[in-house]
Amino acid sequence: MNASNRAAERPAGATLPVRITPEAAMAELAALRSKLTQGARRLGEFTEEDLAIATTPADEVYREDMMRLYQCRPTAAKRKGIAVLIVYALVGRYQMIDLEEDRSFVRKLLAEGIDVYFIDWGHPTRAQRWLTIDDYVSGYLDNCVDVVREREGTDQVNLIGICQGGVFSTCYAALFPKKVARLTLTVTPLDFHGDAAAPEPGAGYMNLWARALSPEDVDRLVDTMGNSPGPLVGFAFLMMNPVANVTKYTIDLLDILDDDKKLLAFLRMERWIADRPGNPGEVVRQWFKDLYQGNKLIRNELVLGGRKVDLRRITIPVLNIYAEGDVVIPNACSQGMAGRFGTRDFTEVGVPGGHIGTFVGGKAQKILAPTIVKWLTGRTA
Amino acid sequence: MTDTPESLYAAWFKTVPEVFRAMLPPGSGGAGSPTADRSEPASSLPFPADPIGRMLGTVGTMLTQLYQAYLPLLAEGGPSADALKGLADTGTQTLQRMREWAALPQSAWPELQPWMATARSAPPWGPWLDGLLPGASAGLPGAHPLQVGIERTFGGLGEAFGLGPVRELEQALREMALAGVAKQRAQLEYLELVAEAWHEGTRRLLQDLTAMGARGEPVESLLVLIRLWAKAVDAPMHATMQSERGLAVTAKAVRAATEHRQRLQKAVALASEALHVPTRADVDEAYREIQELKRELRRLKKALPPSVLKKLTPARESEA
Repeated sequence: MNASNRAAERPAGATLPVRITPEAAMAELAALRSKLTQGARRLGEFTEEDLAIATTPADEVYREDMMRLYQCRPTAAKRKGIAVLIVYALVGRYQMIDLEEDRSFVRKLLAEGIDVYFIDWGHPTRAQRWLTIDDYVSGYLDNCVDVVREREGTDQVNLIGICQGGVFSTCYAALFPKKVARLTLTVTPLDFHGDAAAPEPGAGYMNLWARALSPEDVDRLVDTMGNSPGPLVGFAFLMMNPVANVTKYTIDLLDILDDDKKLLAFLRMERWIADRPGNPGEVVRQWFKDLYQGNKLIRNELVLGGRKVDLRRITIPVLNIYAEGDVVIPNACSQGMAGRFGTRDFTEVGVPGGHIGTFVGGKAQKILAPTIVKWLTGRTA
Repeated sequence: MTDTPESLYAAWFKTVPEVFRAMLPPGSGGAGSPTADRSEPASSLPFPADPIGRMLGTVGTMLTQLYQAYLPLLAEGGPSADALKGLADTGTQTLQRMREWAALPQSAWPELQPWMATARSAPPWGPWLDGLLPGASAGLPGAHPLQVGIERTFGGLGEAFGLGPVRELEQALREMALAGVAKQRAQLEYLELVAEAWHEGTRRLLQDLTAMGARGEPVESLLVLIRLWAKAVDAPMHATMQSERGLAVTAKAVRAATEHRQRLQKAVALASEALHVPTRADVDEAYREIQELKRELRRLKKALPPSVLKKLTPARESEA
């Protein structure tokens, strides 16, 4: 009796239902190796142009230290006369909002006739180790807002904050209420302890991890590291989902090797993922101690530059968009924020997909930009 | 870890082959398993096609080894439940032993060296232990009690000849060595946590396979088996890492790593000061003062009326 027969004749239930013959295994391996070889060849054919991200034409209109403010070139024949300033997070690069031509939040806004500005926070160097959240909010962001106001000939701008950038935008709107017309928050953590009452398996690991550290641990981390290096931040994100991030670069990769569109989408996303800026030490210290641990934002206790950030001072219209499948910012931290702000005009919308999928996912793409544009145009002064 | 996109891949891809190593059946020669090849010269391929391309090579080698290792079992009708259970237990037991050894006093470490060497080369977790075990630091300055005694006895004499900084430095190095040991132990504890999650995942895989067998659903591909394995490990990995103990062990590892770094920086600062070289703290302090001045300048600028500000900084100097 050969091996194939032995495997086939093993009674079901007596052992594990693994019915693989050595011949079948070798044939499968040969097919996989062939696929890998073809995939490697295909990778070698891609050019820089193929893998380029954030390709929407934009002009730099202001710069300060490592930070840059860009204005996108309009694409719509008919513009709505509404300008927005997009504020991204520090832990990743702004390119996420313009990853690929057909997966671009920026392009969708432009196509709807919105004028788009966005901030590239850049890569902070050791010289920026002492930058605080207030330096970002009352310094860089305020200067960018002033530039947009000047260029657009308006007193107030529309802010779209993303994740950490949403926190910065919220702080800004509370500290500089006269300079903001409307505030849109996307996948933004506001109640950093929201997950404590309703923990979600597999979600909010960063919250749990940060709360497991003592304030002294955070101090030592910042004191010894200075800026937290970008790859370290990237590694922390990978560890949030370790098994998925192992299979992603191995067996899951096999599935897309013969599909150019998927492979290019994967590579462009990887280009973005790997480009992690470092984070200024003092920002990390404040983010961990005052927000992750102290939850001071939602309690109106956060102090920036000697001034208290009081969400009740935000009386302008607020649109809060959360991702229904967000595991980075658990829904309990970003959802159910009605009544937290001083405004009577508060809207909350959930979009399908995860934290990043909100901006690049197929379903979310159809909802995100149109929802924001409709909300903005419905409130034109 | 350097601050480049490539370094993120280098760090992560180094760990990936170890996961596949943990799937190899016992006795299949896992010590020689593949590792991500980082020795190749930099390619001209646009990023990240280059590191992903290299990873594909590693994936090919890993899968080949995995398939070949399972051939004898497949010839016998497939891996049994006992074989999979044994595989999970081996890793956990190895780590438990490592942890017990690591808790022993430093004086006992030299005697453990032969076992350490064996443990390091043992699959599946052994290679991960490289650099984590006490053997790596047993020879650091001040580790031996006799050396400490001699230093204490003759240290005063050295100080009389102006060698005070040397004593300070030696003390700092001793503290660093001890912090290094604490770091290794904390990392070992973390690794044990990972192994436990893996063990639980393998146990769940057995449950899943048994249920599939009862439903008459056969597994007819090794790739499918690997995917089932990954799926089974995912939930326990999250549960373990999010558990109270998991978070405490992770925090301990972070604490130990930063304490070690703190001691290292102290030693470097002492050496720098002795050589009249600006220390990290000196440079940071200079940056802090610059930042304070920039902050003050910003406050003053904001306080000015726009018309005055415009005259002082015409048309926003930095505007592109």
